Amino acid sequence: MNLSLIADLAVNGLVIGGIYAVVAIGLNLQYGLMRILNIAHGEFLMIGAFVMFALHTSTQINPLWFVPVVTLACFVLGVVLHGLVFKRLTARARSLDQVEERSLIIGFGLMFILQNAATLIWGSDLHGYDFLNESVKFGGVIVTQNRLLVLLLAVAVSIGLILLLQRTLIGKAVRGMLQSPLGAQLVGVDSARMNPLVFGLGIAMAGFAGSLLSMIYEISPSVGESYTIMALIVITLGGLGSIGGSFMAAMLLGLVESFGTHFTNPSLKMILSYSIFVLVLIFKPKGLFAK
Amino acid sequence: MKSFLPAVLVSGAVLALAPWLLPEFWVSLLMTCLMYVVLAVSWSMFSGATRYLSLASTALFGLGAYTTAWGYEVLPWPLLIVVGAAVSAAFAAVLGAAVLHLRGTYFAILTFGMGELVKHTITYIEKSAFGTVGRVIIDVPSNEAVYWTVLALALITVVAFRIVADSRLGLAMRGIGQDEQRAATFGVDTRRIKVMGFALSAAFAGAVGAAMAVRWTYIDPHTAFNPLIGFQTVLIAMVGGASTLRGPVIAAVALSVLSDVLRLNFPYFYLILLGTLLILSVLFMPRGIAAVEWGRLLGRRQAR
Amino acid sequence: MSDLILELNGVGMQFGGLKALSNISMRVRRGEFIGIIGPNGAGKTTLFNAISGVIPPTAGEVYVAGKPMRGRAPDDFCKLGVARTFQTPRIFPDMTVRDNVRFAHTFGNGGRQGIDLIDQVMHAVGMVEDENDIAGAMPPARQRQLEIAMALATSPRLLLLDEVAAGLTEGEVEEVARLILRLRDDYDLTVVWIEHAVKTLMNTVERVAVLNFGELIADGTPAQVAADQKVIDAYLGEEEAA
Repeated sequence: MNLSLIADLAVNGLVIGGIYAVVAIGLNLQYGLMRILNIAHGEFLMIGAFVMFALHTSTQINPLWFVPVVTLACFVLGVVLHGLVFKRLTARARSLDQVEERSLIIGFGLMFILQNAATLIWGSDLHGYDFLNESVKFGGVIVTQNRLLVLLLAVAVSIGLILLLQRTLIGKAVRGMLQSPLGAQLVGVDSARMNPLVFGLGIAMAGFAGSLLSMIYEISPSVGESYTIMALIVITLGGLGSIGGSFMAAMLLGLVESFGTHFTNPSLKMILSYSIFVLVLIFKPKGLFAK
Repeated sequence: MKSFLPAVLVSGAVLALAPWLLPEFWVSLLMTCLMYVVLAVSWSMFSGATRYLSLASTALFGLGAYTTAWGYEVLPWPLLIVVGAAVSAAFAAVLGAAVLHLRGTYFAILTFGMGELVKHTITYIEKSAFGTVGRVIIDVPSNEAVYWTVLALALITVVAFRIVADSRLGLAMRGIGQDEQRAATFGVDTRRIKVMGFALSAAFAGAVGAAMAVRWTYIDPHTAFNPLIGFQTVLIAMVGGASTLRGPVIAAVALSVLSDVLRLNFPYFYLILLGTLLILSVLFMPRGIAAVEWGRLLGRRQAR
Repeated sequence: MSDLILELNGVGMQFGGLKALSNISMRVRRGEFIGIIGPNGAGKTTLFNAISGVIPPTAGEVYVAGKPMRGRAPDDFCKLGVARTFQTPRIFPDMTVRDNVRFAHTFGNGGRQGIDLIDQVMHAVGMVEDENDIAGAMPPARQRQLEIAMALATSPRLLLLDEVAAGLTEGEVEEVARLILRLRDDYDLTVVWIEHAVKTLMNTVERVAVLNFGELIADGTPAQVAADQKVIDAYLGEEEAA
């Protein structure tokens, strides 16, 4: 067991964790705020990845320029989706439990729509492109530049968002709503305006993660689902509604996955993750970091 | 119950004539339809009543199918169906014991990934323990035998739904679905009821999986754990009306017809349509077609 | 000790930084009729949650019929004879009135009394003609009556009533008070009754406990409590203003 292998696995784990973090934070915002359990969340990662792929391969322009484009496009998509579908849902449901229940089924339908639309447009094969494939030495570890970039961007955005939530007025409003929707309304937070924005932000995060993902992995219309599952496990581990918890849990899970599947078998990745999920639910149902 | 049982038996008798009266294509269609009756009605048995929405139908069906795949040389097929039911029920009981005492959210999250998880596990086992990808089943029962078996399962499921709904278990599950904490204050051991209900409904999915497996002479994890099965099950149950019996039955028939018309020619468009249908149904008919008061709707239009 | 149906020992309830209940100790004997009063937010419903298993206390011990209830689920409380109503009535909205009562009887009665009890309790609260109505479509006042019937259907020993007279006129409140007294006698119950209609309550019950800011500030006969300065300061002043 040499140090370079460990470092390698660690970096790999952090890259994976970084992507999980961005996706999970987006999902957590939607769930924590509106009890919308969007199980199609990973599909937006897939869409973001494919749009990035399409833009880059057709124009040959550096994909980094398209990252904000894809992210913004997904934000708009999210706001539209909220207005068309989820707003109606929250208006008609008679309890938050019902919102959650119904959003689950809606997400299920959305998942099939998006996966099949993508297959219709791009086919079911794997697609990829090369970007910053050259390796570089970073802190004693040899890593490809694109992975390093993805890790840095993912962590930067995640931490940036967490700081935004803690320091800015809007961020505090969102945190307030996460803790107590009614209380927040009483002090003047306009949830009718904030809900679509926060929902859109969540989708934007998924699209952002997807655009990054396309730089380092090959993608197909079916990649989204496993990221949804991971995001769901991450937000459970980190505590539903806790954005910081999601970040830490995501990094942790990424590391566990990287080390765990190296020493056992890659196809056991899901068993490993779900086992952790079940164990946490049995022993610490409020999340790993709950007091 | 008085008029119910004879109605079911008569329908069953009429449907049993199909292999002699209809061309094979129609019998095939009917078989798929009956399979979805089993899946959707048994799903509603638990998820419709308790509102703990299970996305595990793919996994449960697949486990039944693999019971047949692994046991076909060893046990007679009818027994495999029973074993398949038991395997799925046991699996569901374990899943249920793990998370059903918590909120429905965690149950949904856990069941969501089960199809993929079990599929990967079986693939792994097949490869490392048996050195194979798929399996071939030889000496399959005749098409008629399979049809009658699936028909019998459908009739049993329909009757079971009614029996459960009228039973203590059914009453407890409905209470849980409407106000779980309140049900507990009236003495319901909610954890036990949920695990029992989930395991019971899983048994039917496993049974029909074990039955249908013989239709594919070649079984591999990909066909046995087809996510479309779970999706269509939930779709049929929700669009039909998950707390009723006639809702899922009607929706199963409608979907089978629709599927036959569209799926071969426009497979992706078909699935996009289904997804849209599910979303529209949840938004505008949350209790399903069965709950819409058609009479009142039509009556009003005449009055204008 | 065997006639102690409920005992609270230093019971506390803390939610994050908020202390909803502090150091509540009291004993309730079989057959007592106790009223609980206190300003809004004093912790009255939280107390009910603690003694019915709905939200377990974060400190202290609760004993029902002498048994420690730490870590027990609500269905255990029901089996030991605790039945309660909620401030906003919680019935099963999609079931009929009769099925609601039948539910309570099927799972909560534990064989203490046969199914004739269902008709009996519906009669006692005056709901027989409505037995096929869908519970969720009824006005809250009727739902409260249904809740009482459901509670009675479990053949409870201890009945916890949470503001069953909310929104009623003074005359109606007195009717409710008389009904509770009748039920207490007919069904051999111990009753703990939270109510905002303090005057009627004080005229009906034998003992009054007063909560304020999560603390038990007085516990005695209505006369004693009415004369207690702490109570007057905390609560009765507010009641008169209302």
